[in-house]
Amino acid sequence: MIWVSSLFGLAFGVFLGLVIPWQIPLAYGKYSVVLILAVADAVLSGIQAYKREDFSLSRFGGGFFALAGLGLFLVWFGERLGVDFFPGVVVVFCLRLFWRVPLR
Amino acid sequence: MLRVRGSQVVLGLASVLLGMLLVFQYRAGTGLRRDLPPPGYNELASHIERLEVEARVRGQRLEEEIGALRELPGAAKAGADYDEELRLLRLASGLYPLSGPGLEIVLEDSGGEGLAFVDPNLLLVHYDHLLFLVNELWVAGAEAVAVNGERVVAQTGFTCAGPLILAGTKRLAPPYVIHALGDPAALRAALTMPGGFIEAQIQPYGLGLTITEKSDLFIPAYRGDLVFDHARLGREDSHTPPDKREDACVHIRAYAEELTEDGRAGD
Repeated sequence: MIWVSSLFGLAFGVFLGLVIPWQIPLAYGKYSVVLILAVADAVLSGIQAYKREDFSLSRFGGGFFALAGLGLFLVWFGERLGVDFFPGVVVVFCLRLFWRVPLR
Repeated sequence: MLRVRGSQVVLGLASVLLGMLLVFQYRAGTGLRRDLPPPGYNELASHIERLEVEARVRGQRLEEEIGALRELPGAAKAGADYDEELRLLRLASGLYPLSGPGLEIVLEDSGGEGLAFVDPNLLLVHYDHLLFLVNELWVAGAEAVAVNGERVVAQTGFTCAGPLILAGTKRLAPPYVIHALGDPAALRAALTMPGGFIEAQIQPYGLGLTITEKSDLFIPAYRGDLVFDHARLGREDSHTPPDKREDACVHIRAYAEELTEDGRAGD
């Protein structure tokens, strides 16, 4: 049931994106990637929590904003410092995503 | 139950956001790929750059060679010789405006009524009058001749064109004023000698003729065409090998055009 609503939301989002004629400016490409990974991570973690029946909006929202904020800040700060944190942030988010896949 | 539903809505909204972001990002990615130069572009650009540099270097080398040739002993002398030759050729072909002492001859139609039985044509100035007069002047040693301000050169021909006379392509109307540079006394003597052209062909018909000796006449430069479409350098020119004759002709034509331009600018 939760999968249905998520997939429906995803499809609706894609539809909205196709309708809205906008693309992310090239200068913000890195930030949008981080944001996408953060949202994907949040959705997957939310689904897992929902299945465990301990979904909490404050944990969901707080976790999402903390992670996304940290990732975006790291990328931004890395650009200011001249150190590219972007790959590291992406790797961390991807690891989180992969670890959410139940292999057992 | 309500809490579960709320979480479902939140997750759905997050999924909506995810979908939108994915589409936006996808668009940016494909747009990026579309804006990239086509493959091979950079190679082409660097190739062009290399060729440009090469052309510049070769041009510099040629300039250096030209400079070195100019520095050669005798180059300046050859240049001076060419300048002198050019001056003489321009003088000879009437491309310089000239001034000096000479004669002014004014020729007009006969003013009086002719006798009834006289052909009225005989009382007019015809093109052959001018032709013969100019010829007399050349024979007498004139160095430059102009008729009504039109320079007479080797290619100038006089033609009858109804009430007018053509000198080359220039239309002349009476009174016909002929200017000739040369020794004024000698020219006058040659023209007025007994039994000469004037005494035999002009005075009997009462054509108006005045000859004035001038100390300072001005004769303009030739302003007509210099066209050599059919003439080629002849076989007697042993300096020019047969395969170079075409080039030489083109060279002469360009040279002649250049001279005409100068003559016009000098007016």
